[in-house]
Amino acid sequence: MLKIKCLVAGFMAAALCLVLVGTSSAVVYNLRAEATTVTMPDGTVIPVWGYALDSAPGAGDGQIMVPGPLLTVPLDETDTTLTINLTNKLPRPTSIDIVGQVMTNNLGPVWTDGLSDSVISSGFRPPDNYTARMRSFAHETSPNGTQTYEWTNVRPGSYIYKSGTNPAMQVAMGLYGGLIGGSRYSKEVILFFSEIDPVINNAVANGNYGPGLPVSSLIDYHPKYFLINGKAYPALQPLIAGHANQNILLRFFNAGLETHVPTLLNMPHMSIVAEDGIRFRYPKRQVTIELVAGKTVDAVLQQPHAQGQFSLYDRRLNLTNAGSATPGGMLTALQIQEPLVLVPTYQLLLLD
Amino acid sequence: MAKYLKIEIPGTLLAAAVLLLMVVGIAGNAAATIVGETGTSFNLVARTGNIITSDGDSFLMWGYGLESGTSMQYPGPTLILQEGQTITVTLKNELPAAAGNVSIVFPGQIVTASGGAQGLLTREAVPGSANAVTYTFVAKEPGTYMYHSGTRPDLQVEMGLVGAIIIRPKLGAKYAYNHANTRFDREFLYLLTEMDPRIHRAIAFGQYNLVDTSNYFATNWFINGRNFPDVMQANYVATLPNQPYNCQPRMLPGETVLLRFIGGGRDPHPMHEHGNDFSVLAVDGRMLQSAPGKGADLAWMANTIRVLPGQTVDVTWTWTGAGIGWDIYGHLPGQQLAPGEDPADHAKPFPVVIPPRDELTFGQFYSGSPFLGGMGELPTGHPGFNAYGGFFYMWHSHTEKELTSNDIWPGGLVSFMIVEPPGTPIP
Ligand SMILES: [Cu+2]
Repeated sequence: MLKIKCLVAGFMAAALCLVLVGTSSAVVYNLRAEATTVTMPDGTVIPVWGYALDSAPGAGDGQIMVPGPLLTVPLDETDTTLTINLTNKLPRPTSIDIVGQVMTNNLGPVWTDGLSDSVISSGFRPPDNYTARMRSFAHETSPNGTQTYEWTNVRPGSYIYKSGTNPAMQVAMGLYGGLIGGSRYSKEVILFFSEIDPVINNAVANGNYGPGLPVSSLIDYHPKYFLINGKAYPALQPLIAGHANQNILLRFFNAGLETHVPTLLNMPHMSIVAEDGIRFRYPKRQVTIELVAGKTVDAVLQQPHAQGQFSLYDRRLNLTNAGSATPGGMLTALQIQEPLVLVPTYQLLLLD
Repeated sequence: MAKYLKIEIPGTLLAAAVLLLMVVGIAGNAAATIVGETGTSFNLVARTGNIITSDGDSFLMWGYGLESGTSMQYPGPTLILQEGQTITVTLKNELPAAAGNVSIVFPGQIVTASGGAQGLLTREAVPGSANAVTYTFVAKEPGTYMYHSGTRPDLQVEMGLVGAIIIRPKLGAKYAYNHANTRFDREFLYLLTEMDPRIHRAIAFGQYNLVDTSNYFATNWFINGRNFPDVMQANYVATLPNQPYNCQPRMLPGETVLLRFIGGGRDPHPMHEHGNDFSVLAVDGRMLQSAPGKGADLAWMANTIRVLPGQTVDVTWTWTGAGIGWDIYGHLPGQQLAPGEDPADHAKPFPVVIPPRDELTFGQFYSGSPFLGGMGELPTGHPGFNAYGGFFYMWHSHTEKELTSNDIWPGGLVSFMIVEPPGTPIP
């Protein structure tokens, strides 16, 4: 079943069309967290932890990726619940956390005794224990275990899901992905920013990360690879955005630890319409997007003036792969296609 | 090493103070305006050159210069354009061959490039070639913009290939945008950049392989290509041949000043104004407005504005002394108001009994009197930097470590707004 809905946003003075694909009564994703490696354009192989989308809990048939698979919750009349069955194939406990969405089960901190890895409480701090340390925002899934996390009242907009357990380490390892509440626009581009410091990843993979070990924490985090959608230039190909006479939605996510400033060349100013999934009363027209750590920003490219490829890059100038002199890092292009012959609106509505 | 540095600090501070003395002696007459190049056609050349930092150091730079000249400048020429005009910028490459190609991108403009060689972000000028690359665009909407190298920008912007663009609206030269509520009396440019000296040293010694822009760590900061206190010197001063632009805001009470901030480097800088709050008018050359024709009706008040790399921010600021709680002119009851004076505090007495002179420390910018336009007796040896009895307000980065030049304070992202008494000639 294919449904197309059109929405006229007053300030945009043009219609954005939504495509709803295959809605069902509950949105259930079977995610598997597992270690793998990624290869950077300079040939460097880096151990990472990522997520895969399996056909059933523990099926193991999905491919591990960084960032993880894009999750959507269509949010039609009856359907506002997100269920994630998380299967943990990592050597450490893990969990899921979505900033801006309220988890309705398994929420609550997990405490260790502060000296070893032993969990002493899931939920409240143990009474009269002032040395316990919090390790996880949500109840943990043990290695080789599967656990269900649920959000019954998903809010619309762009969000980041990520590990809620020792996130300083696990998010740096690659456990993050995008969540979209509401239907995806027919013409939208996902621009997911993140970074990798190979020193951290190698230390974790080799058992050298943690208190008292050679790399104790992220205190010396110095990323060397700067990624959009998990890839650095030149591995990152131009992203097909839409047609020159369409409004194109750009969804920016930042799961890195640094501020990035996505900038689009040779295009009319972007209209920034929302951040953190919260819509602005008035759009901001800018060339630059302030994309701080943990942020999502939605911007509309209003009917690009021409077809072609238009460069999009991080104006913080993270444009190298580990210091190499050849271009790298957070650089891509939006591919704008020739103008569409417009279909009269009533024909679109017939598809609904 | 650290011990030696500590021992040397008093000497260095003394040197800085002497430099300050040389500098500010003429700051009282420094032009307080934005200078640059006007017209519709600009012929630029990328060249190497050296700049001088306020701690007395010198660095190799790559910069845009005018083809009619012989040098580069840091930052590149400020291009002052008129709304609606078609602009042509040509670029030739006189950088050493090892630097590779060079180019210009104009964020916020829709540019057509021709000539040269196709590069990643735009067409590029090949080294040593007589063939220029040509960029054309229509200065479609008024505002504050920038241009910078689109060729290996992580290195070339750091090396100095960045400049400012101002597009004046059809409404008039004293307006920032095409709306009456963007009128100003004076305007000042704050093009902010920073520097990692290790990169410049490596390039100067031809050790391009030592450059690692992923290790970037700035220790020098610039407003319009100069550190404090060099920003207080005149425009085009002969002692800073490749750093032609100053930053010496001056105004009379009651005037509205427009500050055009540009994030030219790669780090954000939170710029902070003493003396009053400001109104944030526009970002990236677009008024903050709820609908076309409304003017900057969504402008908001602040006293610290984060200037992002690649971003421009326009703010307006005014000062009358309102709210200060005493008469800044020292008027007695019955005396006339000064021009621009806030009537609420008229004839209110100065709330402090000034201690005897030998119990006072005289700051370099103190005129000897607490009153605007007042000139008191100064101790022997005082530099007398305050020529008209103005009030000095420090305008600076709130990332306080950026108030240094290579670890020497004061330096970096510091400037002073001087509110001069009514009638002071301000060029
Ligand atoms: Cu201050």
